[in-house]
Amino acid sequence: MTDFLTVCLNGVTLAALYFIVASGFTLIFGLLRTTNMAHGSLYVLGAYVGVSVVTITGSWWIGLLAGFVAVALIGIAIHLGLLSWMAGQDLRQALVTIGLSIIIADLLLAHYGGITYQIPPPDFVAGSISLPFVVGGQYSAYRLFMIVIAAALGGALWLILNRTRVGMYIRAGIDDRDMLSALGVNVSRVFLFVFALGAGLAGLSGVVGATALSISPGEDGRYLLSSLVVVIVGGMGSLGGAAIGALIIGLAEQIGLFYAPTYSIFITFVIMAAVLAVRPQGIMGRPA
Amino acid sequence: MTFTTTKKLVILSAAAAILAAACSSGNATTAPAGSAAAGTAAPAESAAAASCSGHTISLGGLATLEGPFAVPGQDSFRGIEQALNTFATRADKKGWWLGDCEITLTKEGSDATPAVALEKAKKLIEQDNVDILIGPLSGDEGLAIKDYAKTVPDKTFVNGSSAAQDTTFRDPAPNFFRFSTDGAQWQAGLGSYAYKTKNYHNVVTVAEDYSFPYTQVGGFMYEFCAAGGHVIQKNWVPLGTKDYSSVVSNIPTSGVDAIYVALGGSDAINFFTQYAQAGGKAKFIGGSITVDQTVLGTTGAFQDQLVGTITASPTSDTANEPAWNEYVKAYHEQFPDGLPYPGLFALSYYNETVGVLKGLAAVNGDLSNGQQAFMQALAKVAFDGPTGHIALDQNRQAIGPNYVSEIQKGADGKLAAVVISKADNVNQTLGLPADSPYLAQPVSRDFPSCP
Amino acid sequence: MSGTAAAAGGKAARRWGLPLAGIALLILYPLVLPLLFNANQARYWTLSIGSQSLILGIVALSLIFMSGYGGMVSLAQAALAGFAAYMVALMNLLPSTTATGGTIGLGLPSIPSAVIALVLATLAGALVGAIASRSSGIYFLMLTLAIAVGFFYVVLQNYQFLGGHIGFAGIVGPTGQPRQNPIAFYYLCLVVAGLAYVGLRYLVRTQLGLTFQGIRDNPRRMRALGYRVSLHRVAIFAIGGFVAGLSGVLGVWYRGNISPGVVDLSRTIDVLIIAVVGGLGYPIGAFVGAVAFLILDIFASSVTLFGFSFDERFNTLIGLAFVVIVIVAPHGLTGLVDRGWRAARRRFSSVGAPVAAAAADVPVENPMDAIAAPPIDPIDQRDPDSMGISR
Repeated sequence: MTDFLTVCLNGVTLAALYFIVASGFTLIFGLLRTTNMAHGSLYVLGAYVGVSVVTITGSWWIGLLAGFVAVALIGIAIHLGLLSWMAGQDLRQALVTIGLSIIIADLLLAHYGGITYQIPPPDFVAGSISLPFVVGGQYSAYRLFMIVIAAALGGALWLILNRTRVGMYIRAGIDDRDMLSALGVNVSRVFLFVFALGAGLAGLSGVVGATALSISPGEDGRYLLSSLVVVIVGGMGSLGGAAIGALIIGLAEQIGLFYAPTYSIFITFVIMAAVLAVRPQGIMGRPA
Repeated sequence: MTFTTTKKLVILSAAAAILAAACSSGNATTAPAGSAAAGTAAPAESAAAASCSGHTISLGGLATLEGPFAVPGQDSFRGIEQALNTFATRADKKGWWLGDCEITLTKEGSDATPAVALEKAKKLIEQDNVDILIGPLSGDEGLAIKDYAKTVPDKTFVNGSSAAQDTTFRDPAPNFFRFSTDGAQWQAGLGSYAYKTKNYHNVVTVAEDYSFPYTQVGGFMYEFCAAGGHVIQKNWVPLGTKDYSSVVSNIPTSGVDAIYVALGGSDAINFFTQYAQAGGKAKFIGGSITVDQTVLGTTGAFQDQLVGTITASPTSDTANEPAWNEYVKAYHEQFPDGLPYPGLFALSYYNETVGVLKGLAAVNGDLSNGQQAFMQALAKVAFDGPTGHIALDQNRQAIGPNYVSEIQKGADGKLAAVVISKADNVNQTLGLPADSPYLAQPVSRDFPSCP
Repeated sequence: MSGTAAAAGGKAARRWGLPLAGIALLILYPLVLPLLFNANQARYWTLSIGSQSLILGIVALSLIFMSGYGGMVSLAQAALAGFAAYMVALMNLLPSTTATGGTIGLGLPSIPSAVIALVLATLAGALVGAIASRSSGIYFLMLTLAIAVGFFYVVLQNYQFLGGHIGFAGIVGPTGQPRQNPIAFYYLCLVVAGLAYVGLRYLVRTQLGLTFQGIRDNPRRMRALGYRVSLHRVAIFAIGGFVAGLSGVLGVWYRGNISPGVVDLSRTIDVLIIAVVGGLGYPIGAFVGAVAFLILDIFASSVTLFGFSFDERFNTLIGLAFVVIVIVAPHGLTGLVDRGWRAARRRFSSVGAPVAAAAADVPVENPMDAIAAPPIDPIDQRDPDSMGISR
């Protein structure tokens, strides 16, 4: 029983990380209909920025902020420089971001090398906490802290979307972009804000992930895939869907790794195929 | 296996190394004039093979330049170039020479998959017309190149650092030579030391799920099981797994004396971190790429737990032997931006290249007649490398030295691997007779077994 | 256009001259190479560039067919090709016991192995279609990607029957080892590619092909007319699986082995890149894209631009080239040349008949472009660029 509880807790904490990574992805898709295939590269970029800033300043929180801001700025550049010129052309935008992801990954390899980096967690969650119901009686404080981050982030995004003017525009834009524009709202500015926010969240999640695990070349593809799977299972564009998708995938991965390690990764893709075969728009998605 | 650190100095030096390498290497490079003078070259050695003239000897270098193996891949090419700078230079001319024959080097990078390694090998052999291919870097790439070698019997293939057992042990290719030892040989001495000296009787393994870790775990178990030890659980982690928390949860909390870990770079860091965070208390036994300098340099909760970890490898940073010290000194002189120590990969490629140069010298660079004379000479090559004597067996597989080390905390508080013992002339069966039950099958997830 | 004999002759030359020139070039290609290179390099250009372009082109052709006539951009094509390759290996290899105790290999000759593999690949394609045909747009893209990645992890992890990370080696095709007889293997690839191309071009003119296009353009109306839309989509997938299977069979004969690296994520994306670079709207674009992709992939590390050498940063060059093509040529290289060619012709033909006749002699950089089919599907229906194209 402790085995199962521990594995479930592992799944939930991993799901917290997956949710943080996928939130920006789903936000961008929800409003802009852009499938940002460079999302994984932005994650890695944020992680490396975090490594550099934490090394210099010694503060995890400054690193987190730097990861968010730096990647949000890059996101603004990508949107203004490339994507806004092909608004509405989903496939073309996806292709351009694939090209971008190849370039970003290669330039990061040139600058940071193939070395693995790890960001030390902030002191108050550096060690482990005793939990009676897990294997060994101890559990990583930082992993539990990730649940707090995910919840805080989810709450903040909910507030932005539901309690602010720009959030109202975003929700209206998801429903009907043309009507929003006709009402005199500067839609392109709302789009830019959302893209920057989504990109910044990718950067922030990179710092969180590089602290929980580590960062090295090749992680971009991994987190792009996990974001895609999470968001597809949950329903693209839905924040609640991303949370549900993250939980399903995180739990499946960890339970699989424990009980059937050989095919653990395969299992997540079976789940995704199964969900989509039954419900093509994802669990919380709206019919296309 | 990547090199891991959060220390600024190492980060900067390694990043600089990449950038420097990016600037210096090109297709078909020849040595810059300065490097010959900088190396501790032995000009007499190359002058001895004086009678080659009139043709160019073309070497191809194949290592991994993409993904997590990119840093070892760069170091591999340094190994080739260091051997050439040391044994193939002339005082009167730029470049690399065997007598009056110029030696050229063409490099290609793979991404550690057999499919790409094969395509790049074809390019080097067929498009670039190299005479001798040196590479590849990783285990399954080596198996693919061995199969390709059989279809090109008139070219010579020399391994890089790939270390799967069956590249040479079963169904070898007559024109494939390996002057580096394999992943099982890299564990020589470790199993006995774990059982007899450390009194570890019950061990759990955690390793990645492909041929190189199978070979490493197998090499450890040959000795450990024979001594009477029990491997009570094997965890094969799928490639690409980064979150080890449920692997950690799977390890029994009692009745385990030590955990044998064969993971490289980021995977090792992730596992050690998560094991420490889960409050695990067992001792560790490390594979050859698990506890290298950069893993030891990473600050983390697991640091103290690594003290006392035993490991085995064909190279040891702290081996204080004259030949080794000279080799390290030359490495630093030739590659000021190189790694803090030339790693396992640089040493393997270095030894392979030295073997090639000795073989070429023995036939005065004669590669005619489908390279028959050269291959015969190459099979007989033996030499004293930086770590000890290296010779080939009947399968053209190296017999060479191996170290057992233990991680200890130095006076400065830093972790370092201290040599416990060195075994010379380790052969591919680790001394087991050919009909030993441990050799009855290829190493795999389930074999050998001693639960 | 005037009805003079000269203009009619020019028209015929335009219609058939360039396709024939392209065919002649493809046939003569391996025979000319020994005049330009030494024997080793001629073999390399015959196999690694010539044959491999055709093999990659066929799998990209299956993607272009599915996107063009089914409106479905499938990322499962590399996996379906890999599936066929694995089936060839299992049929063709001599029976043996794997390390983990499974018995694999049926020891069949190469042609029956290939036939069985193609049947299975067609069925596998239909199965993927049955799972995926209800999705559309980005969900469809991702669902097929999930199937592809799932297949990769199965072959990576299964040692008992599928050879695990190492895969299988020692598979030989009907022409023997390609190295021993490169020209025969090249022609084998050329014939298969030609048949696939002509077969698909023929198919789309049949009743079935017109139904496919109807479903692509307006599935709801076709459903109202009584067509079984899902079934037709499954049929498109089955055909796509068959064509991808052809590529997989040739590919495993070309390499002599099969391993999970052939179906991994980057290879899956490569097929999409090839199709896009060549031009998603043009069947011939599959082969144009394959040639461009291979040349760039092989020689990017030797490129120097503005004094900067890309020998280490060749991936940056590949990414840049891809982004530039997507931006400046939304219909791929084929679309770029095709449009330039049409624009030039319009300009000439407005002047008068003699000039129109002369236009037929205007040299074309790449003869293959001239045998391009008219665009069948713009990259995106909202693309303002595509409005001028009549359907």
